[in-house]
Amino acid sequence: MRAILAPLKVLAHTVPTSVGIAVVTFLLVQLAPGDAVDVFAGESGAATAETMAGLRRALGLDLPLLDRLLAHLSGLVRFDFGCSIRYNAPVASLVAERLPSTLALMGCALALALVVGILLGTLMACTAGSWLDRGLSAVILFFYSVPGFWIGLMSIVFFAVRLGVLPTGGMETIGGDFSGPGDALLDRLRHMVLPTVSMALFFIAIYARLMRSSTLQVLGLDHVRVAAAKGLPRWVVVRRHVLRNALLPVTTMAGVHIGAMLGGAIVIETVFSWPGLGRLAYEALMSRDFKILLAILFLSSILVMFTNALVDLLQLWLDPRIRRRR
Amino acid sequence: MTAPSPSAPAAVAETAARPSRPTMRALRALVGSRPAVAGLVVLGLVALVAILAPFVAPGDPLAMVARPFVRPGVSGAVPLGSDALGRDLFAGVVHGARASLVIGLAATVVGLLVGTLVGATAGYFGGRADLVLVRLIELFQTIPNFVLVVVMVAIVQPTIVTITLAIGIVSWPPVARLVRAEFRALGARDFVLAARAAGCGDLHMMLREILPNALPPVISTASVMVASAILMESALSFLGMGDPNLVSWGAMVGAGRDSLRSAWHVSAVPGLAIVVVVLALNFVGEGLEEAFDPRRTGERR
Amino acid sequence: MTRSRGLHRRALLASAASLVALPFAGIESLSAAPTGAGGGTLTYAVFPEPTSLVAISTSGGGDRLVSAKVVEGLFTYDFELKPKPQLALSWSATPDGLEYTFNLRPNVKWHDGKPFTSADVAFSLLLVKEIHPRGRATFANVRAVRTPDPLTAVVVLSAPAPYLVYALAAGETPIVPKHVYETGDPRTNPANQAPIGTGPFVFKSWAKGSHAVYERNRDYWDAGKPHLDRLVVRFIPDAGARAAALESGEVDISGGNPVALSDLDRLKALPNLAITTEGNNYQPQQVQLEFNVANRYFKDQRVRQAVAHALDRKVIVDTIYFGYAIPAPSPISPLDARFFDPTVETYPLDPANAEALLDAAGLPRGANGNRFAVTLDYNPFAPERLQLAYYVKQALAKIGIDVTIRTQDFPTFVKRVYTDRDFDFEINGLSNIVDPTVGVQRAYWSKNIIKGVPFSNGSGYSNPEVDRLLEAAAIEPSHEKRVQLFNAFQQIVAREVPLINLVTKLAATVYNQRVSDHTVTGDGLEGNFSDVRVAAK
Repeated sequence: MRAILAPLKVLAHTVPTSVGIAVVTFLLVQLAPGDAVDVFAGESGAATAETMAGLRRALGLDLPLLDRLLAHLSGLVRFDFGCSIRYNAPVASLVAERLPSTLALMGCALALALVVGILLGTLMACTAGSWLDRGLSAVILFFYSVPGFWIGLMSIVFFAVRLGVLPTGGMETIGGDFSGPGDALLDRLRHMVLPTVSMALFFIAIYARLMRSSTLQVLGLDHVRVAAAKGLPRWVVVRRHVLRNALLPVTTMAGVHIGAMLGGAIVIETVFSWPGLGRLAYEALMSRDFKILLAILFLSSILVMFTNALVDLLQLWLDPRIRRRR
Repeated sequence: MTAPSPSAPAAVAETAARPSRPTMRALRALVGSRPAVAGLVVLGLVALVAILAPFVAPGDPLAMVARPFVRPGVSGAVPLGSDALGRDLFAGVVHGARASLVIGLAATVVGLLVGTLVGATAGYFGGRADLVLVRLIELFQTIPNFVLVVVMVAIVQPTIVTITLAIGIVSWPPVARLVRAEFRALGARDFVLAARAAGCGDLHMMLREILPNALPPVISTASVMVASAILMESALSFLGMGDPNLVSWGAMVGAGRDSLRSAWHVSAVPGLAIVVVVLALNFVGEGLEEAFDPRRTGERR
Repeated sequence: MTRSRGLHRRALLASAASLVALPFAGIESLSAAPTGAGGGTLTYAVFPEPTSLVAISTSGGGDRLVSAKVVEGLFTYDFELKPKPQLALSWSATPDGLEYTFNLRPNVKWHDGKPFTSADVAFSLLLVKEIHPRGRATFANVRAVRTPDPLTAVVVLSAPAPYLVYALAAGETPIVPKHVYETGDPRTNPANQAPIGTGPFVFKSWAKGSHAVYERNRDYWDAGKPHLDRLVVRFIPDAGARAAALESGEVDISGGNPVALSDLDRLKALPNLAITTEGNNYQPQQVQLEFNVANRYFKDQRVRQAVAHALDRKVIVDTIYFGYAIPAPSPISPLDARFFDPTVETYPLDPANAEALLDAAGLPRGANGNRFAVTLDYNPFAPERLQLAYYVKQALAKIGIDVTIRTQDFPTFVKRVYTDRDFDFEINGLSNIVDPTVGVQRAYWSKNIIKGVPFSNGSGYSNPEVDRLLEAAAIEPSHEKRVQLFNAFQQIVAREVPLINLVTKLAATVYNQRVSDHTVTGDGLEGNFSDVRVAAK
């Protein structure tokens, strides 16, 4: 019963937050100097004042702020994101086209970061103080310290140009002559390797460090010490008694990081020509095509809340104590 | 080491004794940690170089003083080489230390101030204030933070002040969460209850009783915040949204990526500077974490 | 409205459904290249990504680069900008310059099988006049387009428009099918996303943010062309990534300085790549330093001349543009051989003279060595303009002018300069579009000081004699007389320098050695690619 109620509760407090986000982001972007018509006219180099005024009228950009806000909100309620000024196409379909590729990239990067991070962190905790621990710490801190775009560009230079084993960017070999769906899948995977790894490295570093410290902390708890004192091998202790508890902070952070990943996606998607939402959001901002930007911000915040709800459920399962407390 | 540290999670058994001077104890522990000391020394040196920049590398670091793309170690005039415009990379790194450190530190201070204020208010008063502030925290945490930085900087135009503020504004929510949790945990502790019974006011309670004990985990987070602020500034520069009148390491890496293939040193030199400082900050952060909370790692050594 | 709302919801549902199948949803299996012709596939990298695949209601750079492959124009132009037949075979004008007759190419079919006629031409020209961002200006004098028979179109003007015949390239004035565009709003016509034209390539698919695919038009009117089987257009936003893709052979060709200027020489040296700077003639880009003539310092002509004397075009060409530019002292680029006047005042590098001019203007050096302080903005559209700003700052520091550089994104820049007029001086790049009346007059004509309109007269410069010359040239049917009028104009503005014309950019095309015949017209890669050949890999 509680397992059903919990998500409902999450939903109940998701709604006001989403409304808040919609309002805040809408007001924020209104502060930006210039509008879509300025960009449109600027790119064409020779517009007339009448064309521009006509365009503003047609797009409703000349309406009072409050009217536009209300129109925006009432659109969101109906999941109607309006029409992109720049592309002359519905925002919903523009976003829908790119959503899968962004989710694929983020999902894979997050999964990779979690798996590798947890493994490395546990390994480091079990060998705490040894040279292995220190060596790994240094490598991981290095990942943490290098700007993402630099890693991305360097990996293109090395793996795609020098070695020629991976593509430089994009999502698939266009017009590739695949003999079957397996080949096509493999092609996609090859295109995903560099962007996924470039995006994941930073988070691998975070999770490994977090996992290391939380594992060490749990290892210090009484019942774990007792288990260790009984002469059980360390790996067994870790697997039976530590892992579950130590995973808690990592999963909490992973939920928080969805937002960070979407932000970082701007850079990674630019470097790897990945047709995702980060780049679309950036381009929308630069061309003041705010309906796209607002839709992406809105969707991503829903995604973050959704993930956090999932994390809550996961934690219920991981930690019986939380279940009891509720 | 009988009393558990004040920053231990709520799950740890509580004691009635008011913890005494955690900061001093932590400082002693910090000095005992070799990586942390090394980190502090590096940071101190970098800070020194930043402060003495006009003497270490006199003149305008943006001046075109040499041929473009001189390799490091070739010319005595530009020991670390020159960039596409023939600007001295050594002068850039030296002067860039200022901007990068200032952005990193100032953004962190902004983040800490806002975060502590919000977190403390929410955690201390609880109830309706907590509800509203938690919503606010959530709201800021759900908007992808780098997108928010880019939007804010695009609105106000990139200068060192706006970049710093924008990074500060997106980095406060985690601090707020942390402080709120600490305040809630500490608020129920006996020494706090005792102070309350003695008739201390809210402000006194918050600032004098709880805050000092809530700070340790915040301080160890701060070093990481400085690091990520420096990285965020470099990503902004990559997108062409840096302050053009200042040299910063991030801007140098961003400018150098154009010539990544023909002159890798242009981005590698400032990139290395970022790596060194971020590494040092992390060492210090880890040291602080251990120092404040010896249970985590200390006794396993 | 309800219909479209339903559509959005369906699109969302579709995306939600594809979520389930993540992460490898939506793999489309593209069939292998059609066999037989053996013409091969050309992979062409374009940036920025087009917003529309037909340049009918936009003149964005990316849009123009792809549009002509499908949708053609009446003419194409050689490197001297002489018209060559495309959909029109020939043209003639009445002596008063008020009527132009175009004889159209027979037996041309739209990609959907319908015949191409003069009705399409009449419809398209009037549509361009109505919705193309430049069309309203270029075709302002067009009163009507008559269609006496299916293969003749007669354009009737209210006043002469001698530049009109140069504005009919596919990228500038596309001829679209009337039967597709006559219903509904042409700006949101689905054919903008899935074009139908008469050109050598037939549109197949467009995966936004990634690529578009075109295939050979088997029924193309130019028999035997195109040589390619398939054209793949990839959208790669980052210059470093484009360099890598060209280098690894994933991309065959890309134009408009696809890689960092500092990277061009490295790529040139590679055995598989080559570089050309041909094909810049149709829209040569002038790089300019524009003054706000209302500024308290720059309103004095001597101060502007002093700034001109402090800048060295050779340094700009060599250091900022790595040799991919030529000095261009006049508002009309040397690449426009028809009208460029090589005898204009150039203000060669002369710091002593510059200082003397500033002293004479009553701006002596202060205690700190500075005369005055100003802020320099730059249009962020091309990345090297920041480097140029650094150079200007340096050069002006030597004559005692303290410059602060200000960075902002494109919309902010446009608003600051053209709406708020809140700037001292700025670095900009205006193309000499088609003809001086269209591409040059806009920056100097005092009646074009219009608040809020980008790339109008941004300096606020006003000179009645200049206005008279420009207005006369705009309606002068005789080419020789126009040359005289424009020469007189160039002499005046080069002397009074409301904006300093620095250099003309030579935008480079980087291509794989296996590609040939890609740049055959004055508009370079904006052409239709029917001549392009690729050798087998």
